[in-house]
Order: sequence, then structure tokens, then C-alpha cells
Amino acid sequence: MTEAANTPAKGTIPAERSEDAFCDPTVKLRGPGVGSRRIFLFGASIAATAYAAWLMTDVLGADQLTIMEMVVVAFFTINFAWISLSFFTGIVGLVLRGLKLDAITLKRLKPIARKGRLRSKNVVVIPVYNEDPNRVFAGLRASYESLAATGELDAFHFFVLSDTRDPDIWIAEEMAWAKACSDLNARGKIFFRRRAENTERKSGNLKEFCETYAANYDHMIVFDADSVMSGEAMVNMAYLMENNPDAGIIQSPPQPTGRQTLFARILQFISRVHGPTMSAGLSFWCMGSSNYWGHNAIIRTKAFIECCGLPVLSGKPPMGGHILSHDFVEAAFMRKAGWRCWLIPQLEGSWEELPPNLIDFAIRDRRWCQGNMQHARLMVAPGFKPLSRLHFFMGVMSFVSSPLWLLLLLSSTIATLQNTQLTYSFFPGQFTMFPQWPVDRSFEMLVLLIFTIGMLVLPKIISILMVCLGRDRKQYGGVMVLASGLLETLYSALQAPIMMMLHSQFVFSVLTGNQVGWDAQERDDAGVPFKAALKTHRTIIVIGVVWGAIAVFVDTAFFWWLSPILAGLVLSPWLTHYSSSLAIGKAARRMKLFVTPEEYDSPEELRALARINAESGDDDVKDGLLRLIEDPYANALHSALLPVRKPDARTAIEIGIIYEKLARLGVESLTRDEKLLILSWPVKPLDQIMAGRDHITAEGPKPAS
Amino acid sequence: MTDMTIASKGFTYAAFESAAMTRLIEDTARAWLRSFGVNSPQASQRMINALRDALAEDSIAASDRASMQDILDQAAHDAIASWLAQVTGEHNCHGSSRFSMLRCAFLSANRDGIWSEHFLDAKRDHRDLGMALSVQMMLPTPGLVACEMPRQSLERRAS
Repeated sequence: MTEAANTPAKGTIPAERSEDAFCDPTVKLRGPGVGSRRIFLFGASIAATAYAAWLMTDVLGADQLTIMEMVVVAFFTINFAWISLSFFTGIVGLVLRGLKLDAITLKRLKPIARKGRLRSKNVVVIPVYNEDPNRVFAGLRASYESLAATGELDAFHFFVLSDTRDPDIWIAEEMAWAKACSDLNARGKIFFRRRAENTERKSGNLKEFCETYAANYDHMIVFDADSVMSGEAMVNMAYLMENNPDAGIIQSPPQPTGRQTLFARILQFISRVHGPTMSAGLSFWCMGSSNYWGHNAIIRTKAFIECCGLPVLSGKPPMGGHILSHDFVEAAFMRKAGWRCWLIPQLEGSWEELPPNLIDFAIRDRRWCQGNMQHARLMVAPGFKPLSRLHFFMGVMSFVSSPLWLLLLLSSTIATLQNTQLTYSFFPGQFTMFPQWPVDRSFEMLVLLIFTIGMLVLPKIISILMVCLGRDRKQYGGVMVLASGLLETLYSALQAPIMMMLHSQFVFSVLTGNQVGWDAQERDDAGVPFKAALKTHRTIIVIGVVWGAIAVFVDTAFFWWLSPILAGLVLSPWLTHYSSSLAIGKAARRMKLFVTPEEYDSPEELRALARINAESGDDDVKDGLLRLIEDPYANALHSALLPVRKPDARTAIEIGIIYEKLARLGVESLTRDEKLLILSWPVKPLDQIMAGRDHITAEGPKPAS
Repeated sequence: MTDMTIASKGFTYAAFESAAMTRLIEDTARAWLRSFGVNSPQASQRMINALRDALAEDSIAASDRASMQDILDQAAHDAIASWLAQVTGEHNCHGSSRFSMLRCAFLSANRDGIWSEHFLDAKRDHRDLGMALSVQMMLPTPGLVACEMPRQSLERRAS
């Protein structure tokens, strides 16, 4: 079966999408054997899971299965199925990488050769919420400069969509926008708007954009606040969109980069080494039913407007209400309407940043957990494609697998405890002349252990070896890539139990109705003091110690069996503290550990990002209100960006009272909400404030400073 | 127009201007000039004259204004907007948003003070200033193309 054969029936696709007479056939996204690919992948996963489940049953059931052992087998089977799917995705990815094959067409990989200039109008949208404006605009400027170098700048606009509620950041964003426009001579190319009401968070921000300005454009490339993309990547994505009229979303695989703490560098390294393997594997079997990861992707605007308005789930948050993790759902709605979603692994020049330490990483995961858990309800909603349901399931499982793993370990502990209490019966059941000897299953246990660990780490190890044996190993630190891989494996083994406990806690928290707020991600190389790490992980340490004591009491061998997990739990504060260290991260860099190509030979875009960041290093976010009072330009700009409206009588009185307070007690006396209120209208100059004048008009602004 | 020329007209507003009113007019003119980054005695005098003219001609309907300060602010705003309309050749300079955009553009163009002398001078040739303002004009958003993004239902299949 070909991808073309898998196309939805004609009539479900608008007529213009099937008109591809002018399309470049060399970049057509289609490939052979979609059904066979999935049959192979799922068949192999099911077969491996069945074998592992049989082996586990054989090991535990040698002396008849107890109920608790049956529970262990059940949890083991679910977890193994999850590992198995990932394993075979990795194996396929390795084969594709090894043979240098395109995951979609299965032909020899070659760079995209564009024929002619872009015909479409594209916009790069950057939704932001209380982010560091210097970093946001540095990313924008680096991408803009790179785009300008391609000669295709005229086909693109940039649009910063602010949802910021912090008054100081709000004003800083306006100033950064004006500076970017001025420095890049990009007036009329870089736009900015701030939403007065930030309903439905990021998806609401994009929805508002879609309902106001998006129809000016054929495609939109969605950035995160920390995204950077090369001009080539953006132009190639737009070109692919132009030449694949049935594509709704094309996702590039963003490479994490830019952080220097040990934690982030380890993750950046393994994402760079092993990420392409997994992307290739995913793309191989997902084909036109791939997922959308929320940023560094291009979207067909018309299709998005028509079919991606998110529903509101019945019931209260966290499981009901507005959809938090919108990306998976938008991809599912695209697929539901017949549009294709592609992941293109070879699209390079797409970067993002990671949280700098384990605690910030966990904070982000807590937010994602709530969003992904909501998807459990969408898995059974009518109309979605099977693979969209699978994506929802995988999203849910990325968090639920942790409590399942924890339950597996706990049930194993209980089962072992029960077994130690039992006295072996040589003559069970009816009378017999021959005793039933205990069966030694230690060899099978070893096989099972190697089998499971192999499934977990083998694709990663092969990816590391491939890099080590490849021509570009120098970019990964030369032979030190092996040491990096070994240390990463050790680190991830110790971190896994911590994440298991944290994810289990998050899942429990969501299921018991607790919600998370909406905060910007930490985007600096922030470390975690040991005391803070100890405070965060104190419950985990206690659990580790108690569990270890029980394991010793039950069976010393069992304690050693559990020891890698217990070590991770007990050592969690040290692991969190030291891995967050910038100094150790930099030292590792000097030792050529965890080196990535972006660090070895930084691409122009990342060099530009570093340069712009360094230039704006002193431009700290200042008191926005004070800035407007003192700086006529900031005041005029702010007034110009405000919507034209008139305050009602009550608001006018409230504003008057705040100005009175400002005049008497100074800027420091105002709360954030008070500042936000007066910033929502043209701000009065200092002399008027001090004179106690309190009139605001919509027709004509008051003069500024 | 100077105080003297106003006074020379005989029975005029300026002849009866109190010291407090003079201070108020001067303060208002100074505030508005500062808001445009203008530091020029000639421009200041032109602004003061414009305010006095407005009061003398009673061009502001005082009944719906809360205070003399409002009258003066409105007069200053109108005088500058009219001048900007002359400079740019646009007619919609009185609106809040457009006025602020032009203020931004003037502040950017006048960073080194080269256009301060031109401020509110109706007699000069403003083609160069008009060009400088158009170069410095900010455009926060493209044209609005309103459309509805319908909420999808979880109950039905896509048609």
C-alpha cells in the first residue's frame, strides 16, 4: 500500500488541494508500503511483548503464579509493550540512518533542491507569555538575519503575539519590538500585538491571531519563545508546503541547544546523538499521520482556521475545560479533516532550548502531564484517525508509564515478600510418589533482564556507536563520545527513578483534581542549591530509604536487584544539585564530554543568537511604568500600540485613584494589577502626575514627559 | 504670532491673561514639546501662541471640558495634529493611535534635534521631514482580515 493509496476519499479534500500540476515532484511527500511499515512495527512490538510476557510468566510461575505475581506480569506486559514500540522505532531509525535513506520515500537522502522562488506568503508567529524579551527578540533577529541571507525575506513576515501580564515585561517587549524593527530596517515586516485578555492560554493566543491577521498568509511557522530556525529550514518548509497541497502541518525536529549546565548538556548531547534515530523511525511508520509538537513547525493557515478551533471539554479542569496541550489535538483535527501531518527528520536548522536543571524540567513536565492526561478523554472521541488516537495514547503513556512502573516494582516487592513467607511444598495437590522439586529459573531471569535492558538502551548505544564510527565524530568530541554515552547512560539510569516518582506524583495530582498555573519556563542556566534540591526531593529520599529497608528485610538479593532504583531515589538531591551546575557543565565541555555539533562548530544562526544576547545583556527589564513616565519615545510607542477605546466611568475613577497613589507614594507603591490597569490606557507624564491631574481621554493623548 | 501681535489687535484675550494662566500655558507647551523631544525656543513660542490663539478664538467648547488644562491639552493636540497633517499630507492625524505613531516617528527622526526648528512651523517646506517621518513610521500589525475559527466538536465526524 502506498501513501497515495492511503489518501482519504476524494470529496473530503477541497478541490484546490488535489491540483498539484505545478508541484515539484522531487519534494513530493509520499512513500511506499505505509500499511506494511505499520504491520511490521506493531507486529514486531506485539511479538516481542508476547515473548517477554511469556518469559516473565515462566519465571514467576515456575512454582505456580500467585495473584500478586499475576499483577506483576500484567504491569510488566503493559510497560514492556511501551518499551517495545520505542525499541523498534529506534531500530528502524538506525537502519534508515545507517543506509542514509529518507524515512518517507525510502530513497537515498538528498538535500531539498528548490526550483524557483517561493510563491506563498508566510508568517513566523511567536506566542510569548512573560518571557525574557531580550531572548525572544534575539531568537527572532537571528532567524530574520538568516532568512534575509536566503533572499526569500519578502515571502515572510514575523509576528510576536504577546500574552504577557507582567507590566515591566510588557513595556520591554514593546521597546524590543521597536528596536528590532529599527535595527533590521524591518518596519512592516516584524509585527507585534498584545492580547488584552489571555483566555485559553497559548492556543487562545493563536486563535485570536487566526481570527484577525492570519488570513493574510498561506502558512504560519510557529515558534516557541526559545526557538531559532535557519532561513534555509524555514524556506524549505514553505517550499514543501507549496508542493504538497494536502499537507496541513510539517514538523521539523528541533534540536535542543544553548544551555550549559551539566543537566542540559547531557540532554542536548543525547538528543543530538539519538534524536535523529527516533525521528527517522517515527517518520517511517507515522508517514502523513505524524504529530505536531507545538513549535518549529509550519502550518497551512486556512486548514488550521477551518478545522483546528479547539473544543472545550465538559467538566472542570484539570481533566475538563480548555485543552492545555493543544498541539496533539490540532494535529488530530487536521488528520480528521483529511489533511496530512508530516515529520521531516532531515530538516536541519531547527533549535529550541531545554530547562537548565531537573527541577525546571519537572515543572515543565507537570504542565505537560496535565495537558496529556486530558488527551485520555480524546482517545475515545469519535472521528479521529487511529494513529491520532495512538498519539494521544503515547502522550498519556509518557506519564502514566511511570506509575505503572512504580506499581510493577511495588507489586514485585510484595510478591517477593509473600514468597519469603511461604514454605515450599514438595507434595502439593493430590497424593503422588514423586516430590515436586523447586525449579531454578535464574537463567531465564537473566535472559529476561538482559532482554528488557537491551530493549531500553540498545538503540541508544547503537546510535552512539554510529556517531563514534562516523566521519563527523569530531563534532561530538571524538572518541570521547563513548565516554559521554557511557556517562549519559549512567546518569539517565539514576534519573529515571526520580522521574518515575515525580511523574507518578503528577499523575496522581491531576487525577485528584489539582491544577497547575501558567508560568514562563526558566531559560537561563539556573542552578539548584543543595538545600532546595533536598527540600524538593525529601519525600523521594524517605521512600527510597524505607523501600530499601523493606527490601533488605525481605531478601538481600532482592535489595541488590532494586539497588539501581534505590540509588537514584536516595541520591536525588545530589544528582539534582550537581547536574544543575554551570561550572561542571563547562568543565565537561573542556573535557570534550557531551559535545554537540552546535557547540563544536556553531551554525551562523546560533552565533548570531549569542552575539545579540550578549549585546542586549545590559538591557534588563526595567520598571515599565517608570520608563513610560520618563521616556517620551516609550510613552508614544506604548500609546500607539494600545487599542483605541475609552474607559468607562468606573475605570476612569479607578485610574484616577491609582494616579493619586502614584503621585503620593511613588511607583513602588503600586501593585502589579494597578500598574497593568494604568498601562492599559495612555500614560500621563511625570509633571501631570505630580500635579494630581487625573483625566484621561481617548480622543487625544496627554503629552508625555 | 507673538504676544505683541496679539496685543496689537487691541481688546484681546492676552491683554487679560493672568500670571497663573500664563504659567499654565507655558507649562502645557513645555510638556507637549518635551513629549515630542523638541527643545527650541521658536517652537516653544509657536506652541504658546497656538494655545493662546485657541483660547482667544474660543475654538474649544469649554462646556464639556472639565478644566482649563483640558482645554489647553486639546488645543495643543489639535495644533500638533494639524501641523502633522500638513507635514505628512495625511488627514487622519487627530486619532489617538495615528497621533501616537507620528509622535514615535518624529521622536525617532529628531533624535539629534535636526527637526526641532521645524516643529509647528507652518510656513516651511516639510517635504524632507515628511519623508523622514514616513521612514520612521512603525507598523504594529498588517491589515485586519477578520474571520471566525469555529470550535470543533468532539461529537461529530468532519464533513
